[in-house]
Amino acid sequence: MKTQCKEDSNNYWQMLENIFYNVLSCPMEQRQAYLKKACAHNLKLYKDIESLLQAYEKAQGEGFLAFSLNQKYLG
Amino acid sequence: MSTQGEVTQLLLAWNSGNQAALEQLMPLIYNELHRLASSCLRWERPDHTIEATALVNEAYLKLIDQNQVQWQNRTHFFCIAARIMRRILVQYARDRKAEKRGGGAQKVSLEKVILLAEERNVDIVALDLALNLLAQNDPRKSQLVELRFFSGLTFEEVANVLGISVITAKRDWALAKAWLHRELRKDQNHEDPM
Repeated sequence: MKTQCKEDSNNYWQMLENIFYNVLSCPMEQRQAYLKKACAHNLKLYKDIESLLQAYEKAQGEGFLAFSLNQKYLG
Repeated sequence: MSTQGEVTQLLLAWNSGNQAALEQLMPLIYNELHRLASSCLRWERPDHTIEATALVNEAYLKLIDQNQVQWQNRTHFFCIAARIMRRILVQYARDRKAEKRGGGAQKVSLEKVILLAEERNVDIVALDLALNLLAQNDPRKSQLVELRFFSGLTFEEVANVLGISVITAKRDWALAKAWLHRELRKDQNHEDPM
């Protein structure tokens, strides 16, 4: 049971990663449509990725973790 | 055996796959970093910032026999040092919160590193907890952030240490940043409902 659970969560994370990277490589105006299509029938995954994409944009805007503690630019 | 000889041998052993060597390496490096940190802190001029990575560099030069190790081992040393530096900083930040900015003047440099993080809107203690959570789900991304943020490793260096491509390292970084941002701002909203 536990192993099955672990496998499921690995699969979920793997799916999330792939879609997240694909969305980022899409032009801005196509992202929403791509995300909807990629997460068809999986609302949880859709919301999860959507919130990560929002967090990503905010992180970039704020310069979150843009510098290491020795002040090197990380991007 | 001298400390330098011992550390060098352990690093080489760890690099050839002996995981137990890492357990023995950690306290030796930790002690040296801690010793360097406190001696730097004592002699430091007020206008002079000691960077976390400068300490790690100095520890590396003291602890490793340069004739015996190659570049790859050097990167591996920085990998361990990043974890240790994280521990030292998080412990210091915790103590500092507990003492409410007491702690005396001799800890100026760790203070500066923490302040630098705060200026950039990063709470080291909260980041540490979030990194532990991320590690449960995806240890590689957590380690990647540790190496980049605490040690300033480049994508090329990180890719080398983690045995992944530079493209994968950059993707990992993007997702890890988004995930951590979501996690940390959630905490902030919780503590400070505005």
